[in-house]
This record gives sequence, structure tokens and C-alpha cells, in this order.
Amino acid sequence: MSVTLLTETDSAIQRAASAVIENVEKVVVGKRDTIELVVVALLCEGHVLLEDVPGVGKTLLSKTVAQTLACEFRRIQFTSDLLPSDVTGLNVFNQKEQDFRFIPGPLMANIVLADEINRATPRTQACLLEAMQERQVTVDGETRPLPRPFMVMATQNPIEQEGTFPLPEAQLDRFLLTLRPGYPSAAEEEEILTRFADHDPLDDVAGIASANELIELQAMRRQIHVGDDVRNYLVSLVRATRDDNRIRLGASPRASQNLFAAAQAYAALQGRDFVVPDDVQKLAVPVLAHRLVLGIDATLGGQSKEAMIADLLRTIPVPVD
Amino acid sequence: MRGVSLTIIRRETLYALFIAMELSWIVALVNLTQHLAEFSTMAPLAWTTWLYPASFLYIKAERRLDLRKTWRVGLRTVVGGLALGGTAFGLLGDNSPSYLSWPLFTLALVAVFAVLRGWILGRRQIDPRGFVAGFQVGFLVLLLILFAQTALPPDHNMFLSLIAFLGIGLFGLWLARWLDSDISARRLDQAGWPLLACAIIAIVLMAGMGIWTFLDHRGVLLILSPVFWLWELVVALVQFLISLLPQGKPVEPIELLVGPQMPAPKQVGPNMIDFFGDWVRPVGRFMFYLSMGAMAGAALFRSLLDLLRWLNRHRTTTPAITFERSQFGLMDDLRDLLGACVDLFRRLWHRILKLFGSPRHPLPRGERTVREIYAQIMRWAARHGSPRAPHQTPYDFLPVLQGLLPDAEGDLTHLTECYVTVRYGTARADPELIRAMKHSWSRIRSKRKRQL
Repeated sequence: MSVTLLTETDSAIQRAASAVIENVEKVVVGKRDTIELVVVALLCEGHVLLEDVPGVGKTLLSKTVAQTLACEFRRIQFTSDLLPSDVTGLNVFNQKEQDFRFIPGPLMANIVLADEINRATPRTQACLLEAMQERQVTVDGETRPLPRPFMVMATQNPIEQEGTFPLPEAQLDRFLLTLRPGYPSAAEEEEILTRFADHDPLDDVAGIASANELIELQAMRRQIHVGDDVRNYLVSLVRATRDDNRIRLGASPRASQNLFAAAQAYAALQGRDFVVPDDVQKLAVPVLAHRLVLGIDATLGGQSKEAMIADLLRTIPVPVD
Repeated sequence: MRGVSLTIIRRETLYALFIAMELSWIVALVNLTQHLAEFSTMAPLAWTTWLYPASFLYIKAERRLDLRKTWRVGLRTVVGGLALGGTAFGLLGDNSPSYLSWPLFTLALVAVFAVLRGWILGRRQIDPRGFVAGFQVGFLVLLLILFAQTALPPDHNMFLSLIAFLGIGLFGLWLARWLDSDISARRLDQAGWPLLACAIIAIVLMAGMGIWTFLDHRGVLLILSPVFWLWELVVALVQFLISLLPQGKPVEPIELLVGPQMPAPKQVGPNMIDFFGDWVRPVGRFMFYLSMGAMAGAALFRSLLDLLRWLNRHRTTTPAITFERSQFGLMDDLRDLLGACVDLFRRLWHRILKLFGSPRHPLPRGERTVREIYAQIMRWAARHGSPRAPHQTPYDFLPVLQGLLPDAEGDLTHLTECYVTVRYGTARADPELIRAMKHSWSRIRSKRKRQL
């Protein structure tokens, strides 16, 4: 006999997600995992940090996702002379009306691509804190809500350090996921050459979902069941990052919330209406790794955050009995 | 603190425990009979404590055990029985030189019983609920003794008996839990202090028991009282047989058959009634009648339920399972009655576990069955050298299982999916799902046997 795993709710999420993924894959070659995780972030209304070397398709991925969703998309090229008001918008005095008029900045969009975010000064970076967490901006003492859904997709180059300002922990903690698309394989690289030879496939990408549909899917995602044992497992994992001597700064309660939501979204993507420990394990590295600050011994020992999370996963017993 | 995996404990060892527990019942019941006949003994209390570790280990073991290797069972049970008897005799030491001439007889008696029981068990499957039942019957015996203590003139110190019961029992429970690692490794991490406290209390109480034993060897002698009782029976039987012989000339009583006599009971300390007052008697009597009445009612209900289940089992095509019970003879009716008591005390047992900090929650029957089936798969894999690592999820473990039994890939996948759905999801373990799982599991077992 077969076991019914799907409900109407999660199959709707799965259908929509599959359509988005297929659409993005028309442009982005061979990054199925990364695309899936971007969709996870969309379902959680979380922000994504794409961290990799130049030329691996970070910006292209962001643009394609935005185009697929037919949402309002803005791109901000972060540079050292970028000011907070260039991002959030500013009040300009209108002489005709003898009053200040708010000129919205590029942050007032559904999907914002913060390209090379670590090139901006901390002051400008900090203007994103309120926007990313509370989904609002405050300009001249006046708080303005951002459009929903709102998602920041930031990119940064981990190699080039000159003239950059590393993101502070508070900022990193606001990103739901950090993704590293990585280099394509030889076959994928050939496919890229073929696909982009004649024209830009991005021009062919049609919007297949609206902002309202995305909001509905986000609401459905919240209905995915997370059992007590899985919840305990998730919390144990997050808490383990705080108790480990090798880690100077562990994951925050916000990380727990994000991992919880991401696991729900990932389960929905797999066509389940409940979360299994595999979902938590799958998302542990992308959700938690960027939030950790390693201790001096671990840093000098060349241990990576990803390896640390993998190590912790091996110490937490999965609820199976 | 990590324990040894239960899966490495051989089945035969579990059977030995089973038989040891049965011996405990017999001795306990015999002692109880003596007690009701106004002999003084605390042996039932001490003996029933064996049931703690035995029942705990057993309920963690396979749900149904196929005992085919009779000789191994026999051998192990002989060893187990000898250890059991030897321990009792070892306690005697210099305190009781008069009884040292009989250990071989007692050991032989225990060994014969163990071998016979092992031989019988080797031909059938055990209903593991029997083990839990064992503990509960022991508990029932305790209740009866408490009743006897309040209803009959007291003649020994009840508190020392309770100390012995709790001490050995708690220690056994702790030890059994420590041995069982799959789950308790985590459990010990999470709730280590209650278990540790339990062990410390047990050790202190056992030390007290040991000191008391040295001070007053009478208690140890009483533990052996069933042997004397049995011996008297044997003597009476032999004398009866001799009396049947043709009366050519008078037959002299056989000197060798005169066994040791029980020392007369004496007051060894304050009893419950001295301590609490006369009101204990009516309260104890009321509790006894109430519990007996409840058990009888539950027995009727349970019997009816068993009958319906039996009919249902025969109506459907579910493969028949041989249980030790339920052939609906007189003995089986009695067993059913006992089963009802067992059910009643099972609830009490769960309460006790909760009190000791066990995080175990009673699960719906269906979900429990699903978990048990999956636990059987895990144990089977462990026995074949591929135990599930604590960090492995069921889906991680699936390729391992499939590697062990490539013929049953589909069934293993199905079982894993069913387990995952019920364990982590909101799906209910309905009878259809359970039946499908059982079919898959029985197919896997048959393939596994063919493979072996």
C-alpha cells in the first residue's frame, strides 16, 4: 500500500516551487541545489547571501529568480561611496508644494540584489539591518514599510579583501542562508557556452508567479508540521554550537527560527507536509555556518565552519526509536 | 556515559533471564504460601526484585523470539540457573553451616527446571509480554504480602524487606538501563542525574542489606525456605510411595531423607502495625479486596477482548503467531485472569517509570507497533554488523539496510517511509498501514531466512 504524504497545501507549494525552479534552470545551468535553497528562502521570506568567486552566476541567479517571480526587482551596486540614503531613499524639498517629498530608494522593491555588499562602508551596510529584520526603513525619523514580499539577495566575493568591509555578525545573522554556488562542471560549462552563444536566455524568462501568490505560499509553508522530537533535535543542534569550545560565537535564537522555517520550506519542496530530521541536516550548514565565529584554535587549525557543523551533526542523536 | 548496545546481548542470555525470572515466581509463590501458613519469610520480596532488570531487558528485546537452538538455550539457562542458585548459597557463608550439605541438591533442582524450561521454550515462540507480566506478578506477590502483613499477625520487620526490595530492584533497573544503549545513551545524557541518584540510593540500600545479612543470618536462611518446603514434599511423597509397598516387614524411615528444619520465626524488630497503629489492618484489607475486585473485573474484560482478538485473527488472513497462551483451556483461563492483573500493573509500572524521570510517554497502540517494527529492523541490522549510528536518519540508514538485503529493497523502502510518516508526520498509524507494514516485514523476514 502507498502512504499518502501529500496534502493539497504542500502539493501546491511543490507545484509552484517546481515551476519556479524549472524556469530559473532555463538560464542558470547546473545549480539545482542552490536554486532549491533560494526557493526555500523565498518561502521563508528570508534573505540570501551568495558568497563565491566572481563569474559563477551569483548575479544572474538573483536576476533570474526575480524575473521568474514577476516581482519588483532592484539592483544596488555597493561601493565604498554609497550612502544610506542612496539605499533607503531620501526626503527632497519640493519647492512647488513647499514640502518634503520622499524619493524611495532602490530598497523599496520586492527583491533587492545587493551586489558586492561588502564593498559598502559599515554605515551603509547598517542601513540594511532594520530593513532585513523589520521590513521597514526609517528616514528622517519617519518609518516606512517595505513592500511584501521583501527579500535581499546579496553577493560577496570571499577572496578579494582589499577595499572591503566584512559584514558584522549582526548583519550576517539576518541572512537566512549563505550559498556558495561553486564552479560548474565541465559539461555544465559547455552547456553554458552553448546556451549563451546566440542570445541571453534571461530575455526569454517569463514571470510565472506574482507577489501575492508568493505571500500565499509563504502562509502555506507555516502549516508544515514539525514534530516535538524534530523540534528538540533542531534546538539541540543550535545549542550545540553555543556549547562547543571551538566556537567563540554560536548560533542565535534567530538561527533556530530560521532553521525551523527553512526546514518547513524544504519539506514542502520535497512534497511532504511534515519535517524530517533529514531536512534539518540538509539545511544546517547553509543556515548556521555563516553565523558562527570560530575560536582562535579552530581558526589557526584551519577548521572550516561547515566542517564544524558537520561534526556537530554527527554528535546529535537523531530521534529514532 | 555510554553503555553497551543491547543488541550484542545474545538471545540465549535473554532466555536465561526469562527462566531465572520464572524461578523467581515459583520461589516467591511458594514462599507466599508459607507465609500465609504463618511461616515468616521475606524471600518473595527479595526474589521478585529479579524481575526489574529481567523485564526491562526483555521489553527492549525482540517482540517475538524464535527459539530454535534448544541446546544453547539449555546451556545458558543451566549457567543462569546455577549462577542464581549459587548466588543464594554463596550468601550463606559461615552463618549457616547446617545447610551447606544441601547445595548440590538445590542446584540440581534449579538446573533441571532450567533445562526443562529451556527445552520447552526451544520449541515455541515466547510472547514477550510474559516478561513484563513477570514483573507485575512479582508486584502482585508483594501486594499480597503487604496484605498478609496487615491482616495476619506480623512476625518480621517489613521495613527491612522493603529496603531489600527497593535496593536490589533499583540497582537492577539502573544496570539494565545502562546496558541498553540505543536509546538510553541519549536519555542518560538528558536525564543523567535521576538515574545516577537511583544507582547511588540502590548501592546504599544494598550495602545496608548486606550489613543486615551479616548481623542476622536468619533472613538469608529464609530465602532458601522454598527448598526446605519442596524437600518436605519430596520426603512425604517418598514415604507415601514406601507405604504402598507390600508390608512384608516394617520399612524404616530413610535417615538421609530427613532434611533440615526451618528455624522457628522470631520477632526481629518493629513491624508496620507497631509503627502505624491498628488502623493499618482495615485499610490494608480494604485495599486488598478493592484491588482483587478490580482485577477480577479487568480479567473478564480482558478475556472478552482476547476472545474477540483471537476470532479476528482467525477471520483475517494474517499469518498465525504461536503464543504461549490462549488455547482456552482451564489453564489459559487462569492465565487470562493473570493477564488482567498484568494489565492493571502495567499502568502502575509506567507511572513508576515516570516517577524515576523516564521521558517515556505512552503512545497510541498503532504508533507503538510501527516503532516496534522499525526497531526490529534496526536490531536485525545491528546483529548483522551494521548498527544504525545515532546521527543517522531513517533515510540515511535505508541504503545500509538495502545493502544487507538487496532482494528486499522495495519492502525496506516501504517500511522506512511508513515509519517516517508516522514518526515525524501527522499521519495516523491506521490498521491498514500497520497491516501493510507487517506484510512487508514478514516478506523481509522470509527473504532474510532464505539468504541465511
